Formats: sequence, C-alpha cells, structure tokens
Amino acid sequence: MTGWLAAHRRAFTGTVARLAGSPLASLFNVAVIGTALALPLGFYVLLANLQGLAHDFAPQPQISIFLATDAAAADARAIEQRLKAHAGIANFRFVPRAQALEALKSRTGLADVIAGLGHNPLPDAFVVNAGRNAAALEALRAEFARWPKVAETHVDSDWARRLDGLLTLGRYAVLMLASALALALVAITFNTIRLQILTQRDEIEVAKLIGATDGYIQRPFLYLGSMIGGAGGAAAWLMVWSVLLVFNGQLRPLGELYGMPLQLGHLSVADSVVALLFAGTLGWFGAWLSVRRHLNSYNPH
Amino acid sequence: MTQISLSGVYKRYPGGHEALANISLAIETGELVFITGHSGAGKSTLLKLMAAIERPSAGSVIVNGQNIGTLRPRGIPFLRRNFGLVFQDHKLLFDRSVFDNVMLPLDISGFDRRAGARRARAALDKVGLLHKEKARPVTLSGGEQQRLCIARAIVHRPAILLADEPTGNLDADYATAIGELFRDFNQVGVTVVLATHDTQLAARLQPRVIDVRGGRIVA
Repeated sequence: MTGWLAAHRRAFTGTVARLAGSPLASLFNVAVIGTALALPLGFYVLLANLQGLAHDFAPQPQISIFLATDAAAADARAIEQRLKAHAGIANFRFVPRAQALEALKSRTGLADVIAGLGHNPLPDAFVVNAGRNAAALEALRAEFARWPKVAETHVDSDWARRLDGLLTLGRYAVLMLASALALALVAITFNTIRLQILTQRDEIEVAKLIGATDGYIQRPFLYLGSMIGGAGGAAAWLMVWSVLLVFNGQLRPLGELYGMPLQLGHLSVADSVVALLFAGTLGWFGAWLSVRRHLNSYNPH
Repeated sequence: MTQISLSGVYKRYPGGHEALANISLAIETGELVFITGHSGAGKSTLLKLMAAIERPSAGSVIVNGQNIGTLRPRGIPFLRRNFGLVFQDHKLLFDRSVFDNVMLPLDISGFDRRAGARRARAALDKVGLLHKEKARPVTLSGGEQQRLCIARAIVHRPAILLADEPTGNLDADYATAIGELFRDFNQVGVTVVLATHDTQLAARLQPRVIDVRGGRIVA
C-alpha cells in the first residue's frame, strides 16, 4: 500500500515537474482548453441569469373560468366549492358579473354604450392561480372546461410558454455546444499526450523491457491529462469570471436608470466544482485513450 | 533445475524471413552459456524469445515454468523482472543521471527508495562507475556506457542475466574486464546467457557454447 502510494506520489511530482519544465507549452495547452470550455460555461451562466430574471419580473400566469350567462348563483357557488376542494390550486378569486361590468365601465369609458345595452352581457368569472408549470396549467384548464355551466376557459400563459420554450432551446444549445467542445477537449488532450508519448518513446520502451507494468507507464500520462484538463477548466472559470466583472461594471449605470439592481451572478460553488471535475475527467479520458492506443505497440508479437 | 527450455521453436517474421528453425535447448540454473555465430545467425532473436520481447511462431519457450507463447500481456512485466538485460545498443536514458538510470528497475518494481539508493550505488561500484553517478550518460565513453547498462541489469539482483554482444565495440582491455564481471555474477549463482562472436572471451571463460548458424543449432 505504501509502495503504491509512493509510486503515485512519484508519478504526480514527476508530472508537475514536467509541466513546469516547459511552462510556455503547458500554458498554451491550458489556454486552448480554457477557451474551448469558456464558451459553454459562459452561455450556461448567462442562461442561469436569464432564468432568474424571468422568474423575478414576470407576473404569475392565471386561468380564467367564464361561466355561461344563464348560470345561476347556485351554479357559481357549486364551482366555488369544487375549486376550494381542488388540490392543484394555490388560490382563486370570484369576479361576479356585476362587478366585472362596473370595472369595464370605469376603466374603458364605455359607460354610455353599456347603459344603452339594457342588460349585463358579461358572465360570472373565476380567476385561478396554480403555479408556473405550463403543462400543469393547461391540464387544469382542460379539466375546468368540462365542469357544468362553464362556457369558456382561458390560460394567459402564452408568454410563459414562449419563455420556457426559449430557455429550453437555450439549454439544448448549451448542451450541444458543451458536447462538441468536450469532444474537442478530449481530442486536444489525446494529441498532447500522444506527443508526450512520442518524446518519451525511449523511456517507455526501456521501462517495458525491464518489467514495468502498463499501470506504471500510464500513470504519469493520466496525471498529465487530468491536470491539463483541470487547469483548462480553471482557466475557463477565470475567463467567465473576468467577463462578468467587466459586464457588471457596465450594467450598474444601466440598472440605476431603470431603478433596479442589474447584476449577473457567477457560477455557484457546486457548479464550479462540477465544471472543474468534468474538465479534469475529460482530460483524463483523452489521455487514457491515447495511452491505450499507443502502449499496445510495445507488447511482444 | 532447468530454468530456460526451448523445444521445436520457430520464428518467422512478417514477409517470410525465417530467423530461427527447430531450436531445442535447455539451460540449467546457474549455467554460463555463450550463444555464438555470425551476425544474422539468429543469436539476438534467441535472446529476445527468452526475455518475452518476442513470441515464437511455433514451439514452446518456457522460463521458470512459464510458457512465453501463451503468457498474457499482464504477466510479462513480472516475468521480465527475473531477467537482467544487457542490450547491444545499451538503451540508456539520456535525460537523467547515471544514478537515476540504475534506479529505474527498482522504481519500476516499487522498491523502497532509500534501500534502493544503496543497491544502486553498490551496482555502480561493482562496474567501477560510482565516481560518475551524477554524470549524464552522454558524457560516458562506449565502455562506460556498456558497464552502466550492466549495472542497471544487475541492480535488482535478477536470477538470469541475458546479454547481447556485451563486448561488441570494445577494445580488448574493456572486453576482458566485462568478461570478468559476467564470470563473477555467474559464480554467485546467476544464470548468464551471452550472445557473442568474441572467441577470445569464450576461450577465457570456458562456458558451454551453443553455436547458431542460419537459424539452426549446429553445436
């Protein structure tokens, strides 16, 4: 066990020394990976901020239930009871037809026209709040439509669905971008490790000849891959952070004009850790592929 | 006890060249064996088969009871640790010191570094290179490089020493000294197999001689 630990420590320090030995090449490698990762990471941060903004500033979507004009007061009470008993509803409000008419009169200035009608053309109505989930709202609306004496139902959630659609699209775009650039990261580490293997050809050959296991030979390369990947992830994090810093500086005066604080938040600690681990793992994977592929040529045939 | 045994061994390379044909031989523990013959006769191939650097096309090569033809790749490193290998082209690593070159086999087998350092210095002392432990191999002469290669081959105290033309490009004095080294190892019980066409060396050490010609054993 101590031998195993010592071997790992030696591989680790050897790899660090190798990276430090060619600082410029290492730096460029890390910069390339960092730039590749900064794109999806930045997009993700922007999307998370947009989502937060949408939640903060958008009004809650509502379902309107209009009763038939021939519905009696008892019908309205029956529906009120059903709504009270319904589990999926946050709260609701009853708008009697007389009150609706008064509101219409005072708000639109159509008092003369309405007075000329002689009777109230508006139905009784309920306004229901039931959360933000567009699909759930639509299901509720369909349910209400089947109730007796309900003439019409309406969800004013079009904007919410559009926003949801856009955000979903954005998330897909981030996912695809991240996949493409993850592939790029694997390819970059694959190639970096391949070059490293070529420059250490003699060492690998001799080590194999005098009894080194594949694990012993792989170890420093796998460390190198994870380190390059992880450092690339850290570089991407820093890039996004500095862009946000500049951006927030520009947003502050704009927010003051609108009378509200406009600031973009950075990745959460958990998200940052996940991003770093992800980058490190991808680097490790690229190195592993490379080592597998190139070590085979040293086996006896 | 038989340590290395070959029976009915053939080695053909892609392209049809037949390097070895119908080789059968047995080497006992503690023997001193010279494999002689002209260059291209198949001496090096014979050593490579023993060390599992190559696999036979037909026949069996058995080392310490393990059949190299069927040995899984995972098992090869552990088989190799029974050997000390001296290469014709030395195969030294020029990016590290003489001392670190000798440490390599001990690092690989996970040997404790401090105890390893003592062994490495003892091996360097044995071949007369202790005063050059900090030097780079590239600054050494041909004879010194050969001795460094031998130090690396013996540092982990292998049971079998395989050497391919160890006196190949050396002048007579060096060759004699290196011959003495091999005899010393053999006298402490190490099985020594040398591929060489140095007849003077053979005359001095009086080993068992296996003469190879055109891929076949003739004597």
